[in-house]
Parts: sequence; structure tokens; C-alpha cells
Amino acid sequence: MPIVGTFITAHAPGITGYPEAAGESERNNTFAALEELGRRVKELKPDLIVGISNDHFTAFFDPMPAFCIGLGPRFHGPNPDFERIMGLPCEEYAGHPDYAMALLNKAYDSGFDPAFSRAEIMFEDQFPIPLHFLDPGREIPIVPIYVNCMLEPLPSLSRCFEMGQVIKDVADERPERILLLASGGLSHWVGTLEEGQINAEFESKVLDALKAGKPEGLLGLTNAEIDAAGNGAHEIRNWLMAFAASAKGGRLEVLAHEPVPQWQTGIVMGAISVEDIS
Amino acid sequence: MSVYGVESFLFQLGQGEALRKAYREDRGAALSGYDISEEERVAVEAIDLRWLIEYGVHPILLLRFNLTGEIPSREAYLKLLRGAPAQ
Repeated sequence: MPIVGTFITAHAPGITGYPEAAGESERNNTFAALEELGRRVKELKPDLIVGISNDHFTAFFDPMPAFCIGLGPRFHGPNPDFERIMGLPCEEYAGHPDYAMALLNKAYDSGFDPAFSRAEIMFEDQFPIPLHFLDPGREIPIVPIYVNCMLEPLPSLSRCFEMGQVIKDVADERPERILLLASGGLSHWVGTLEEGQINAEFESKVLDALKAGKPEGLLGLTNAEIDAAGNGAHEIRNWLMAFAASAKGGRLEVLAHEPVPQWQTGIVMGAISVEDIS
Repeated sequence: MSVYGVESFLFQLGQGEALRKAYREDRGAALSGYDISEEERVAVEAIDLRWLIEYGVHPILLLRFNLTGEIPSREAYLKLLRGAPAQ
């Protein structure tokens, strides 16, 4: 069964933690986009969510895997510190060990050797923020795929893109209806003096390429070019993996693009078209 | 010496209350189990964020000082990062 939907969302804690800090129109547009994605989830009726995102030193520090697939039967989050800043209670999320193992085996058969975790991984903001809107009843199991976007050396953009093909291959072979959720981005600095800045030029470059259905055009970005949009901008790795997993030629439909300095993030919410237009 | 010892401490600070409690009671004693240099120890005990970030400690790990409540607000965190007093 081909992937039934691919969503891209920011995961800034301010979205739920301090929504009133943003301007009214930025806030309203962000929430409208999230509600629209939530409506589409009901329509798409996915059996399972494959979540692509990154940890921020809660689950992983040392060793630090480039990629890690969560095989656990359940997960929890947000952790208590993120719970406080996100204003969301810690909840349980069902996993799907069987599907996660299929992903792991396909990766190994395809020349990838991701780490795996059988633990009940503790989430932060990366999945709980979007899922608060996409699956408020916590009815859909999730298989998390973690990408190291934090601690150098980072996996190359090309390698992340290629890993997306593994996700696509598994989805095509299996019967489940899969919703892909890639969270992160766009320009943002975390924990540095540049917090709250937005790199509009970088955002346009990324979004123009993705809206045109040409993610390959971004694979040549250097880490220095991405750094110019903040240490959080490296999370575009998650988006690129999701693009590669989606139908060839898929284009990003931007539902919201709101640079919100008060949330320290260039907020993007969108969906990748799933019809194969190549 | 490297930033690794300092970053290990900050990672552990984010893992639960035990180390936070120890750090609040006696910063020096809480740091005793970590392989850090004297100048690193002085900076962590003083929460000298400007020194620590210039030294190369990962900013997202430095932010643990705020997330765990050792630095009460993001504004105070940023002030300390600039080298200004938090208050």
C-alpha cells in the first residue's frame, strides 16, 4: 500500500506552550494549518504513523546514532522539562514493533545499518506537538525514526534522502495505510544568542525547491549554509527523508509559513502531494 | 580536556531530579564524578554561560540550565549568554 499521506510540521514548543506570544495572524494561520492536517488524518484513516524527527539530547547523547528506529511497544512524552514549556501532559503513545522491525530489516537489506532501540523512548516536542493536533485521541500507533540533526558529524543530506527510499519500499510492500510525519525546521536557533532570528532567504530557497517538487536541488547544501539558518535548520534532514519516501515528483503544499520570532522558529506546516506525477 | 565531560553532566542534568538536587545542594560535589578540568568546573559551578558557549559546549545542552530551572527564565538564560548578570 503506497503511503497515504506525508505531512511536514514544525515542532516549536511555543505552539502549545506559549501560543499567545505570537502575533494573532501568525498564531491563527499556524493553528488553522494544524487543524487542516488533523482533518486530513481523519479522512486518510492511517493504520500507522511513521514519524521522522530528531531528539534534542533527551533520548540520545552517547552513543549518538545517525539513524535509530524505535522498536518499542510504547513510548512516552513529553518528558517533564518539555511538559512544562509545552503545556502538554506526558502521555503514552503506542508503538508498532512488527512494522518497525520490517523497516529495520529492509534498511539492512538496502545497505543501511541504522541503530535500533527496544526501549520505551521518551519523546520531547518532536512528535507530541504535531500529534496533539493530528491524533488528539492517541489512537494511531507510531514508529519513530530518529535522525541525528544535533551533534556533529551529522549524516549527509544525501544519505537522509536515500534512507527515505527504505521507508517507501516497506510501505509499498506492506498492507498498512501509512501516514508519514516529518517534524522539524525551518530556520531557528536554539540556545544561542541568535534565538528568535529568521533566515528568510534560506527559507525561500528551501520552500521554493520543495514546492516545485525538486528536493534533490537541496542535497548540495553544505552544513555551513544550513548553519546560517540556525542550529535547528539541520532538521530539514527529516523533511528530505520524507520527500524521498513519498511519490516521485511530489510537491510541498504549504498550509502555513509563518516566521514567528516569539516561538524562535520559522514555522512551516504542509503536506506533500502523494500522486505520482512523474 | 574537552567539552565532553561538561556535556555529559548537562545531559545527566536533563535526565531527572537526582543530579539536580545534588547540584543545588553542593555544585562542586555534584560535579565530582565528571572528568572535567578545573576551568570547566569553575565555569559550570558559576553557570558562566558565555565562557561555556565560547569554549564549545553545545548550546542545546547549555539550555538544560534553563529547562531544569537552574536559570529561571529564557530571558535570564540569554542575558547570561551575553555575559551580563541575569538579574
